[in-house]
Amino acid sequence: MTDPCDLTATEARNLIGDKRLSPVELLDSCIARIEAVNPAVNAICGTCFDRARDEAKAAEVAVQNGDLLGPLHGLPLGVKDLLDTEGLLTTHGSPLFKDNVPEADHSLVAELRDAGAIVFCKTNTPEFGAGANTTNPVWGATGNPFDPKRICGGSSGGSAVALATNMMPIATGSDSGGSLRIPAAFNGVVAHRSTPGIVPNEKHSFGYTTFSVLGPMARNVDDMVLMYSTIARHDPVDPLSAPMDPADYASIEEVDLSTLKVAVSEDLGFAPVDDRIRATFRERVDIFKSSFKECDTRDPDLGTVDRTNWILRSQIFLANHRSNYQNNRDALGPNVRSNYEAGLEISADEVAWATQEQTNIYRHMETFFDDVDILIAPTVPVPPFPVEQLYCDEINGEKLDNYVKWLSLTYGLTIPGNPVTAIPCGLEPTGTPFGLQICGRHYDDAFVIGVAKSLERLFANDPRTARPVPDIAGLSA
Amino acid sequence: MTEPCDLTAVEARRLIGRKRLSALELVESCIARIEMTNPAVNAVVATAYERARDEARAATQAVMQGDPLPPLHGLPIGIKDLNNTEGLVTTYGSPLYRDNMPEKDERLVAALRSAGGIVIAKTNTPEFGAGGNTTNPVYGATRNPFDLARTCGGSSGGSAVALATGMMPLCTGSDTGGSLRKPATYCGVAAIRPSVGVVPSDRRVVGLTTFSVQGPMARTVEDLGLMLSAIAGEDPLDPLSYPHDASAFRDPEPVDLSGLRVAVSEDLGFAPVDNDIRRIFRERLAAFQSAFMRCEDRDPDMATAADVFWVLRGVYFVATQKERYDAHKDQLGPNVLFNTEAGLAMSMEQVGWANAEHTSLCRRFEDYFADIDLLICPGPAVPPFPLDQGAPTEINGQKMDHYISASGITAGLTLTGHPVVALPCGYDHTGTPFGFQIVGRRHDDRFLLGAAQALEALFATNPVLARPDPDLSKLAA
Repeated sequence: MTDPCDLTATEARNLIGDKRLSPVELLDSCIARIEAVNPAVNAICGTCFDRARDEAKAAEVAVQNGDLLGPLHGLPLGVKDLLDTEGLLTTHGSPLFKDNVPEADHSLVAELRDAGAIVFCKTNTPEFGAGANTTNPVWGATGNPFDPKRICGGSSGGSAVALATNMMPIATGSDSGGSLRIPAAFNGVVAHRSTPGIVPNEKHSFGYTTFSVLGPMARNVDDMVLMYSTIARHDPVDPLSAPMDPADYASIEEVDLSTLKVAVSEDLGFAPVDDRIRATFRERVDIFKSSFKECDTRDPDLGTVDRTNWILRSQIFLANHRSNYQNNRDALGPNVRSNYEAGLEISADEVAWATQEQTNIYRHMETFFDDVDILIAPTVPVPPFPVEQLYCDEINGEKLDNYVKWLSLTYGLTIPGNPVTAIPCGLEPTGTPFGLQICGRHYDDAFVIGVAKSLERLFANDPRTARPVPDIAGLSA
Repeated sequence: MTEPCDLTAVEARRLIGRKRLSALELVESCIARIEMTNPAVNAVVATAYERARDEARAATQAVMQGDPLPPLHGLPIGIKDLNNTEGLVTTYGSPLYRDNMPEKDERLVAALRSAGGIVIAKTNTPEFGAGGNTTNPVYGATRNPFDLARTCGGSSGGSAVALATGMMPLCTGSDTGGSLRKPATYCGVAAIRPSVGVVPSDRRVVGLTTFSVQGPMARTVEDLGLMLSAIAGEDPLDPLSYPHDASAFRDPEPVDLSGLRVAVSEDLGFAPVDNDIRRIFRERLAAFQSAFMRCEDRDPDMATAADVFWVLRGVYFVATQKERYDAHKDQLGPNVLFNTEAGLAMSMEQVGWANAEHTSLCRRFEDYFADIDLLICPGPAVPPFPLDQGAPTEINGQKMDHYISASGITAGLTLTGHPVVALPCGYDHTGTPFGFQIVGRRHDDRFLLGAAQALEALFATNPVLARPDPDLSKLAA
């Protein structure tokens, strides 16, 4: 039996517009699903169910009155706990903010609410979004719905799990080193990391950076585009936001795969990747590569991206956590502390070098796309590990330097800032979802998403590549 | 008597298209003017006369054949000596590059040539563009055509002087702390520092920064628009480039001054500005401010701009000069040495602070701009200073810390990345040109050009406000 919460966002929105589904009914169904499943996975933080019910009732009245309805009218929305929500607890996963109730919505949340979405809960994240295991001292760990003892990825882990278990049709995420893409991959959902600037961020402390990109998450590409079309816009509050035509993102067409020259890379030429994941990637590529005009193994040359990422990332930690570190050092978790302290060791000389290297890497990627249309790579290098383990410190027997090194597959594409859509593609050998990154040229977001949409349809035809769905009944309390 | 070289670019291009002026005639006229006036001012430092003559002949042939003519067809152009020009010596003002012969035009130059421009000469710049006095050990000092004992500003000083004396109708410039704007206002010509990202550059070593913006210089705003249309556009080699229609700059938005809301600031709220310059600024404004719908004194909140600029500039110098600093320290001039060493001494905490504060400052400036159309402030902070003085050493009795301290009035606007037109407006109290910075909304360069063109037309009606021309007879050899 399908509950309203199991509908896609597009289906639910159409039914609401047709007066065949009430926003109240949908919201109640989502709340019931949270109540049934959340005890097993712990994806949800603060909630505002009463306000949401009021808004759902108002949304229902608007439908009955024949008012003009926004694209997200009546759709329940989960907001990652890093984003400010007016009147709704926003902890950033930090004990320092455990009672923080913002007075205003972040502009992204405001845009989504203006488009008709109903904010009804926050979704879990690691402390200040640092790391890819969604766990923190305020809310504890979020479990993977395919195996709750293992991690769901992060930092937008709560959103991904909530989507995978149908607690809501759309959710927000953000991505510095892979935080939209990694949880999407581990939970079998979809996310898009934009060219920096397309989804304006009014809050990130560093404007001229490819870190901290906000983005949409959903269960399928159409739903993600529905959400994306309301948040892709020009807002000078973000230094990287440029004038654009929102219509470019309003309806994104499929791309004819048979016209594409595709590069596949199992490790982007530098990332440590578990042999099981490499094998899975090769198997999956073998299944679908004949759909393309050309499909060759080809690694980009990301050169010094490891060190560049670490320096640029540490610099932001220094700026963001200075007063916390100086005044409340003990209240900071190990990831944030280690990253801050690593930053203190870096010299201005190294920052200068890293900013230059980032530009070189950016230019290399643009040249790479002179010869191919799309790059496809795995999203995460290892299967999910137990939630008690803060990060992955070893791959194929090789020790890793720091808590982000295992995220090389994703931060390798953060540094040049290319757009990436993360889509699911079957299961990996340990029974949790396997995911792909679909990457293209700067500002070619609509094209990249279009390719992801075509692949999604192709993948649905084969059980080996279809989107995996967790056993929701088995998770229910 | 008006020589062809005294025509504006738009006039000359029109006559060329109508077969009433040949490109060769124009080139010869420019060469004659260079030969007549350059010995006095030393603006032009390398020439490509023979190639220019060949290209002019070919350009004439194209006209005669009725070929489609590009926008700059047959127009002689001066190229700042920081820009790489194929087969034409490019020294960057540094003895290390005294004999440097690039194999390839950089993007800016290639764009101008493919739009029909004829590269005729290189124009002088301080060593690596560092500083506001155009002098270097390779070519010596460029002199102000209104007073040969004083500076022409910099770093695009050679270009500004060449334009003021009619050596050519268009020149390139580039601007980190004011290098397009300061020489323009010191020499009575026009320049636009476009919004960051409008003119993409393959040479920017650090991509994600508001520093080092290339732009057009000319004698009129209309000419700026013509040239901008040839060099703007999306090029993925520049990380800040974004999709836009470059050809629109040829046709600036007609702007009615009486509909504009204008803010006026003598010093951006923080910059040192000479009291006499403040007085002149007030006097000039009083002569035309009634043309606007609203014109009020209002300073932006840029209190931290000088510190942010100094830290970011230090890191930028380390990024661009470190290799040379390590290998050829003894051959670097005092500005470059001083600035690189200042950068090397900066701590990571300072750098992190400056990046975050830069973004806050940008956001405050966007808020400031929310209900105005233009900001008007003085061009330079002081009148042109004596040639043998490296930079202003004191303003209103206050000692300047270093060679950039007097540049706040231009550098503050560098940080925000907004488009700025430098527009001449009569003479200062010392008999050299005075000029304004006219600042528009970010990414709305076309509107800014339209507003500047309307102001230019207004100024032309009043001898006190009109663009000054130097007395060429005093410069003639």
